[in-house]
Amino acid sequence: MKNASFRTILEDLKISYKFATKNVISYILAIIGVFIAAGILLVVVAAIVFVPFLFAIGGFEAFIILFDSFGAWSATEGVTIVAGIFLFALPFIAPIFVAIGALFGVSREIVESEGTTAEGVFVWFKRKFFSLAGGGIVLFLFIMGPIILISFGAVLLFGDQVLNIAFIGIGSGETLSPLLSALLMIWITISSGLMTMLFPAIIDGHPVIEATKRSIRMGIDYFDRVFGVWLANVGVILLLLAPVMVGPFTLGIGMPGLIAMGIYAIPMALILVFVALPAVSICLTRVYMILSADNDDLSPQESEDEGGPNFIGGL
Amino acid sequence: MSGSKKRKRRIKDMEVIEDKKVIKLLMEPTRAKIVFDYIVKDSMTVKQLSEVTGKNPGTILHHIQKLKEVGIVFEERTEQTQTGIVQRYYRASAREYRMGISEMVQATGDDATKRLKSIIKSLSVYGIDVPENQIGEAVELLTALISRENELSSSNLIMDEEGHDKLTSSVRGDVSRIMRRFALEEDSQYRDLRKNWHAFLWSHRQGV
Repeated sequence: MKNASFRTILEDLKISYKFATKNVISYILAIIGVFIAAGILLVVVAAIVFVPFLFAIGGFEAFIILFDSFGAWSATEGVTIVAGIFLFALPFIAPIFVAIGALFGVSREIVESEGTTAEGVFVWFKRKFFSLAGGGIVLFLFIMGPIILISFGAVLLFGDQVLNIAFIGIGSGETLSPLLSALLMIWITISSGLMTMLFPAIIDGHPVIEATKRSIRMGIDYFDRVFGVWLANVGVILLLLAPVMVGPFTLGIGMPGLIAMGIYAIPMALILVFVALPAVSICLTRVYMILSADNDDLSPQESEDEGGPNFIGGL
Repeated sequence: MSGSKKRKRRIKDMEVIEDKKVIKLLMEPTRAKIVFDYIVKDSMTVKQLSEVTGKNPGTILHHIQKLKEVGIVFEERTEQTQTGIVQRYYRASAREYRMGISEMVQATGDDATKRLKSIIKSLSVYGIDVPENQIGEAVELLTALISRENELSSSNLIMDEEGHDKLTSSVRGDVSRIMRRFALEEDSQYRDLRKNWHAFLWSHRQGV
């Protein structure tokens, strides 16, 4: 049950999409609600971060000057991303991850009992807020941290000529070298795959660090199943996106092409957000529950109602 | 889900809950119902508990998680159904629970004291009328007796754990009660406390 085959993964996908479709109304309401809540929270975080910051650095003009200095800095040292992420991005990432994590809570209810309610998402949002926010930050740092550190380290050690090797000129623009692109893709696939069980584990009641360890351990121990379902889900999403990504090259940029893409893009976006995203969370939650059941060979404990009436009265 | 059988997790015969946090947790009516009415008797899924309690699965899942955190509930097994849902069966860690009486008073304050006083007053239906000014004394005697009983009953008396697991539930319950009674009778402190309590009851019995 725990190991993967093509059939198992196909079955995982089929069941996930079936449950996501069956509960689509709950998911639509839950996603709209929870992302509104996350949006409000983002505004609050922005106010908490930027308002004192504006006062501290001496008003809005000083704020613009500071950001301009980042620009100058990046041209020579390439640290804009590092500074930006560590100073500002993390508090903003957290509410989005809490919202996504809360969807995993709804999915847990569905996987375990076949039913849920739209308002259930807010209970998960509230009860697991700090764990999910922490999980989101860990997830972000786990995937992006090494990329940022290596880029930062390379620029520090070898100066900005590293950028000439990393980026190659194509036409008038520049793009990441194919080798680096491939390495980046491999790292993102591996790191995100290892982290797929993080939110299901947090929803299961594990603290962030324990959930991270559990996710990585599952990713290694059940590599085929974890990466199988993860890549299958990514594949489905890419298939959905493919016409929009490939369209401009095949249809041209004429008006009929744009209209055709527009007609496709709107339902595709709705399906992506309200069906595919829930299906991914259902699929990962379901796989987590199967893999974390270390007692699946146990025979059930005897029911206390079995075996007839008692002869000896209670104490 | 077939395969080789692993060792079952041992369920305690009786557990006295002395942790104030756990007592407070179990004072919540839905959680109390889940534990004392259902999963002490048999393992159940979130869906089943949702059906019998009339609460939505999300609420049940949150309660189960809280109970799991404090060790009252454990996951007995996981099963995949035909429809694709992955059901977890939850079971209580003991077949019977009692609240530590003094801890319960500390955890719930007036509620537990009121309950004890109400028990004493309710003895009147059996012809035992305790005057208002002696209710405090009655509560003290009863509390001391229950505390000692809990202490003795929660000690593990089983010599052959595996043999015990093989007994049917009704036989297990009967032998457990016989032995717990025996353990109480053997304890001189318990006998003294019981003697005092019975003397108190006798002295207030109507028509004697």
